[in-house]
Amino acid sequence: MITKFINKIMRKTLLLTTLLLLSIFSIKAQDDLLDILNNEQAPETNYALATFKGARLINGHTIVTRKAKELEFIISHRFGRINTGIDEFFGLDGANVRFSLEYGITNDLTGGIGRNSFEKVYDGFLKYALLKQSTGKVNMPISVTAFSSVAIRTLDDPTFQADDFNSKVSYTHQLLLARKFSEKFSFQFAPTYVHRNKVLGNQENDIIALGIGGRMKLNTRLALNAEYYYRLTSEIDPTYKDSIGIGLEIETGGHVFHLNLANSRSMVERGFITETDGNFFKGDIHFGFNISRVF
Amino acid sequence: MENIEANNHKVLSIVDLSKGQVAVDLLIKAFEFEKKLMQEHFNENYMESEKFPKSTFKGTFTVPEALKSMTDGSYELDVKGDLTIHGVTKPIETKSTLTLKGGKLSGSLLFNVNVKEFDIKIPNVVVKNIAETVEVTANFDYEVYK
Repeated sequence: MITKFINKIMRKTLLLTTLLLLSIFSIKAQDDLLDILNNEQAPETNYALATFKGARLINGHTIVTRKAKELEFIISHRFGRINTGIDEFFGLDGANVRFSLEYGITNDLTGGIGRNSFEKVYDGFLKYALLKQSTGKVNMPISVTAFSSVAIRTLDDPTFQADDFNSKVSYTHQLLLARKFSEKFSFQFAPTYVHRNKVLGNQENDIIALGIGGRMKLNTRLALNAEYYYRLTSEIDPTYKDSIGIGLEIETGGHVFHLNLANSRSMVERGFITETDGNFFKGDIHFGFNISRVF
Repeated sequence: MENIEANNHKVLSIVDLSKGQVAVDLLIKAFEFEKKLMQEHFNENYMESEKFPKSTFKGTFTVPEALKSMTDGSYELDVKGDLTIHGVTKPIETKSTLTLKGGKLSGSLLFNVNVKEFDIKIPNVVVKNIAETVEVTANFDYEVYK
């Protein structure tokens, strides 16, 4: 009884204050008052709301930036392959973790740092919202965000002959273009350039990839996300595949949860875009999740 | 737990002192929250403001004789009318004050909105964090409408 009572007083009250902008009083209005007001409303720029809920779709970034002074903490896990069977408990025995902190420097500029246990990679990024989809006073069909990241692999890899600092560094630049087509469906196109200072064998240092992804809202809390990165590469090594992922997104207030199935192990752009080695259609699928909390 | 407050400075209102009618029209997206994420949730998850961009009120009141003859003073009025939020229209009754001073008319009112009555769903996981009843206060300064 007591706890119930405390809960009740601690409950938030949502207080909405409406203040004037322009108001009118009339002595002899003939028309319907609401019609008059409807005609008096000044045209507004109506920005598309929540094209995506998270700063990530599956592994890749979305156009979403954090607003000024918001801090986001993301914990992500990627497990082993599902098709390793019961011996590896369908991949759950082997987990990779990425932690990241992402901060809204301004409403349009976000910076973040992260650490991925897979290959012990540290990464940092900046993303900037260039354009925002809107209707009304300003008509803008798409949202555009520019993204750049640096990743440093610190795992000593014996197959790398040179292990100086430079050879551990890679860069990714993306232009994220998205449109919220309807209340339920958003689409993103992500031309991507990845540069790896050092590669193995006949891999290319520079790779262009075209990412596509979408979000389909199932209800106000649930959405289906999907992402695919198509590599425009002449690499003949069949080891590497295009990254494919699908996921369920659950949103509860300040938290966003992602439950993903993808053929990539890494959560860093260089890793999943250029070095995905799982064949999605043969069951080389990694279960994973992202938990995001905005403070 | 925290008090969540949002302000909307883009609200239009009109009163007709000869007929005792009042109307209010506002854009849901114009509510400004301190936390932008809250604002997004308010619009997307609760108010569904893409679908229901506006909230309106249309009401009537009995005009006191002194107000009709434009005598300065503060008049407490019982306003009855229809409030539309989230596409749902409900009759409400509230007390409102109209103040006439030196030819300038201003009004204020306070009322409570029960979120459930307007078909706004609060999921169980956050039900402890969000009030079932929202207090709304409004202040208006009126000019003569031409």
